[in-house]
Amino acid sequence: MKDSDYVQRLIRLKRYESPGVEYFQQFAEDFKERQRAVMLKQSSRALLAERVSLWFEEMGSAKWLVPTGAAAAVGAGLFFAIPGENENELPASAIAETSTDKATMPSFPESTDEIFHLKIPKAVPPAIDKNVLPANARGALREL
Amino acid sequence: MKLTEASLSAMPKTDFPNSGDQSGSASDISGEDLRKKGGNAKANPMSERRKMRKVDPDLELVQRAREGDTAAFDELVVKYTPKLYGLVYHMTSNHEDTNDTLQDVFAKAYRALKRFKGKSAFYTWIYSIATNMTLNFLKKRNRRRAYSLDDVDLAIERDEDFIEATSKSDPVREANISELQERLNMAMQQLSDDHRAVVTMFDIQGMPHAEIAKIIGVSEGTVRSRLFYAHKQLQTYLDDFRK
Repeated sequence: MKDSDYVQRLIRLKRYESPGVEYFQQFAEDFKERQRAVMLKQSSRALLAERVSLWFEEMGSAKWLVPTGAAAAVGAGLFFAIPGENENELPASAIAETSTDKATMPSFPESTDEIFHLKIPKAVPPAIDKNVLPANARGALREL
Repeated sequence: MKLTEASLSAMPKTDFPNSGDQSGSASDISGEDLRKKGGNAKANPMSERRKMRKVDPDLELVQRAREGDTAAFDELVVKYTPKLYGLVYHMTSNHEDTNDTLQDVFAKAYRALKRFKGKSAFYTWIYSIATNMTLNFLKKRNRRRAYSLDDVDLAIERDEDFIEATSKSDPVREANISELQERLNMAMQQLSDDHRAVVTMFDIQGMPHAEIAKIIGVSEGTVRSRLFYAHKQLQTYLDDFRK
């Protein structure tokens, strides 16, 4: 027998290595379970996509409000989030106005002493004219 | 539980009429069959044979599976798992890797089923997928990964090749079956992945050169030269068994 034939016959004996019939039955079951899990996952995604599209359709003409509102919200957010060039300085026109109005502005206390010693004016009762009697007193005085 | 001879004979045989160990199938048409069909059989037997040969025995199951019949695909899984398991296992010598890879093979085949155009037999197509995925897996796998070998069916003791090997060669007779199994697997793992693939398909699974060429996408000449080189290498690794 040739050497190569002998080696081939030996290698051919490897076909007797096998996991057994039970393994193949279990393999088929495992594959079915795996496929079911994959299909379930795909169907839940498809279901979600279907529900979202149905919701959009049911909104009718109002469905355009959602993207419009979202765009407006994003735009407003960007407007306020993006800082201006000189954030801490007032514009020149505003500075000019405040300087002329200074004289008419009320004077606020500049120190804490002034705050604590603020004089609160005493309440002064209104002056009563002697010739003016209260309405309910007239009858009694007439009697006098 | 190991395979018995009855279960071995019940396993699906390959559809390769040129292989010595397997019986023919749809492609093995006898003259008597043609006479029974009548019609143009006598007038044009070769074209009739060609037409019959082209009919894929899995055509109906594949059609149903493509239409979404998962039970039909499950039948294909049950039918081809033993053969594809053998292919992947003999290339990896690892039971766990084989199990994982084979699950991926069938999952990929299921997803790609709609692209299967029927130009080749379904068996050839899924065999190509299994071979390519196993080769890709082996490229990524750590070469030092331990073996995880399946049990050897005790029917080996009645095999002619085994009997002859143990009667003539002292080293083989002295080595017990598990030692022999380990030596054969070690010798196979010494081969490159491509050479191991052709040895698995030709020597272990009995596939003809033409079918191997279709599966791995090379010429028949390339298959023959790879086998020649692989056998030379195996002789070196198993030289001590040749005393």
